[in-house]
Amino acid sequence: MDELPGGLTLFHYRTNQFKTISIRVVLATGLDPERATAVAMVPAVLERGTVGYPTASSLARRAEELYGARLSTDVLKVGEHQLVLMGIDIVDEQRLPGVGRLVEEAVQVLTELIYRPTTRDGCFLPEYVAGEADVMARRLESLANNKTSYALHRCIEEMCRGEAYATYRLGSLDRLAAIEPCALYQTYQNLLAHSPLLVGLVGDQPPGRVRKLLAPMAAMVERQVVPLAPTHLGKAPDVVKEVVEHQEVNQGKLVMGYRTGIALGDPRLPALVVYSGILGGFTHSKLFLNVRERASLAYYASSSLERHKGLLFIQSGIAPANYQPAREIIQEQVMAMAAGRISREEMEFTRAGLVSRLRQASDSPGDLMGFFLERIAAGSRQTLDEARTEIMQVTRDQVVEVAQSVRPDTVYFLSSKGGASCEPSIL
Amino acid sequence: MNRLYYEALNEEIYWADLPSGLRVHVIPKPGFVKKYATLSVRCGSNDLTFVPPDSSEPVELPEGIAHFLEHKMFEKAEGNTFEKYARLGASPNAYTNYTQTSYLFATTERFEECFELLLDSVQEPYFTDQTVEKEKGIIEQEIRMYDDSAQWKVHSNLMLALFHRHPVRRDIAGTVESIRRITADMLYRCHRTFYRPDNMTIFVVGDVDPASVIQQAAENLERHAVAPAGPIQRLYPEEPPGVYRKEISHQLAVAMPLFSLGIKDPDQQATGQELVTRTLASNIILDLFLGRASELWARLYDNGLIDETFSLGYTGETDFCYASVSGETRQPERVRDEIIEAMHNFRCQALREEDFNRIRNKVVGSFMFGLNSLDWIANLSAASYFRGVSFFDQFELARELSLDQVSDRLAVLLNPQNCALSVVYPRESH
Repeated sequence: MDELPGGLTLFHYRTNQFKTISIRVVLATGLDPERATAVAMVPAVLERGTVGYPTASSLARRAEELYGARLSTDVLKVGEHQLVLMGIDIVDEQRLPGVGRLVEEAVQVLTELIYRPTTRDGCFLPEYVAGEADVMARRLESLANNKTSYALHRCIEEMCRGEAYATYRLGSLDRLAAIEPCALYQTYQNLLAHSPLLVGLVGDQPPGRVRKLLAPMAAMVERQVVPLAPTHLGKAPDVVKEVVEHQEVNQGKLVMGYRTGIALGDPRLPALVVYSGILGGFTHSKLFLNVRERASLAYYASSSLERHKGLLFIQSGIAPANYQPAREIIQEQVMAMAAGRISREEMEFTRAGLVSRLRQASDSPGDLMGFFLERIAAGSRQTLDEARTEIMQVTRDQVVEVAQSVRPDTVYFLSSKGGASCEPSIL
Repeated sequence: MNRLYYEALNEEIYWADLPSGLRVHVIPKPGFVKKYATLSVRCGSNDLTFVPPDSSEPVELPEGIAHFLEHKMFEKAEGNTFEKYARLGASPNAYTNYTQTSYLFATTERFEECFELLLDSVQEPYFTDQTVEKEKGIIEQEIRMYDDSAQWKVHSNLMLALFHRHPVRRDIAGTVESIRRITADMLYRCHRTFYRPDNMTIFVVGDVDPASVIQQAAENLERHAVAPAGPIQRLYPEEPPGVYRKEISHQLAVAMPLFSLGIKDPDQQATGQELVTRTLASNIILDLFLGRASELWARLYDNGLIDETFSLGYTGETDFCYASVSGETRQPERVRDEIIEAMHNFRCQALREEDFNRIRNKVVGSFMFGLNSLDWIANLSAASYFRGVSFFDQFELARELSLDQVSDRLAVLLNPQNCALSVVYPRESH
């Protein structure tokens, strides 16, 4: 990893294990409910066309010509930061002789996408912005189509009301109408000029070449980086919030949100990762064994961590009538953790499982990129080896200690029409 | 032990046919830390009516039996297999689709012990009335989860529309009613019939020694001493040509309608290279017709009819083949009408050599992307083995594909007569 002039962090993971090369360019900015929708619109409009490839189809055709290069953009929410990702994945020309200079051409296409968007009089094209605003509106509306992710989103919204983190990664419908081609172009220019910029490459390229290919990415515009404000961890309320929503669904979705007060950079984080693993990260975990295997209440019951804001979520799909029993069984497991009822085997299996997952990350370009980008964006320089060592050193006492700081915040239940806890299951 | 080296890919595959009739494959991947093994059984949700080897009478089992069996193979008299994998630091999994059931694990440590566990657990059934009853609650929640999944519903209704009688019309997990009828006896019967070495195959992918993997499998299979029983007679109803219904719609608590437009292939039966070539050619046709760089895609996108959820693909199985085009849209019927309208013209046009080459190279490229993933290699290898073709041969067939082969398929596949539309609409508000 290199820190280059212009606030550019260049990250390179060299390996000859893969047959492809992955490149990502990330612009990071504060997650702001007022601005998030516009930020999310930017990559969508960029994909509509560039000076050299003025339509989405011609840009797609250009990528196809490079043995199906995969040009992509994405918007992520990482803690209270919003990340705009733009990237390209190509076949490594050394692995498929006779295909030409794919890497250089891919960098050229990516540079074109980022720095040469189609504009008119210093604004994005109104027809492209209007078209993408319509696509975004459909995307935001269809959030309700997937009940599992909808329920998680709703739990976060209720739990973090009044905090930046409540904002969805793509912003909100009510902000879309105000988006205007010239202002949006200005939003993008500000992002380019002031956001920390991260460029990553995973693949078999000599370091000198990577630098030569990618360093110019920061030199395309005048840059004056404004550092990002850190994520606020927030506090759990004195009384747990409970929100039950009704829709015409067959299965209820239970999401229980907790605050841990522990985030990346906190020395207690590895113990929290082990905590979540014992509770609900594996098929040997308490939630899987008690909610699914013993009580037969669910097909899935698991826990997961948001490491930047220190949140923990427990998710399970259950019959609407089983809301109370499932909730009780889950709470018993969380209490068992806090009471230190953790066996030697649970510790061992979980550490081994987590270490194995971290080792396996080095087998996938996507996992590698995800592991490093997520950490670098939060200012961490941790390697895979360091992450593994940390996990292996976690003791049972440390897990019990973090269990004390896990506080329930919000229980969200997406139930069927007609009641959460009093309706008999449909037989 | 046999070996084939594919120079263009720098990949190799080893295999051996064991006396029990099982073929073991090993694809070495030096440098990878993960080791991935699958034991796949040619027993899918489509296998509902069959003649067991120990009988001459056909047996019909409830829908969802193959998937139920998959769930129950993890439970043994001495406890559940998940825990044994956990002890070894490995992650086990399994899945059932229309045509096969696969059991698998990924591990970085203690490969031999994990592999032994995989081989034993799939060959040693243990079902009691009590454990079978307990599983019904879990599977019922799995089925209800799918009932709420608009994506799953739009797909399964497309199967209902495209096919008249083929068992692909049945849901993989069965229904809440059908699984209630499943008994321990039925599971044993299904296991006895299908879980035989000559109806299974093994793929191990990772940094392993092929000879010792094959040796270990041979010894394990010998210990279980199941002799080859010959082919299983699977009874499928005769499938008439043409689609069953032009349109099926359903309502769910979604905000945006989902559609899936299917094209039933008039060629329904094929195996081996013929099936692979047909699948490759069909995917290229779909991409030329409706891919991101096509005129039609641009028109539908610019008119706000489709978005980034839009996808297309061809499914080529030995006894059912169809293409599908799916996504979210506010106007499902208009999308269908525009695609069918364009189909009338496109099927009569000559394909351009330049476009064909570009898409064929993209297919070659996507194969290279896939080779980064051990999971992808193992799972696709098992599926192609059951279809009668070696996995890496697909790459060669893609490179050798000619414009003529694709052109020959064009008017056959893109036939408006064979189209059916499945839509999931938002539920009308109350």
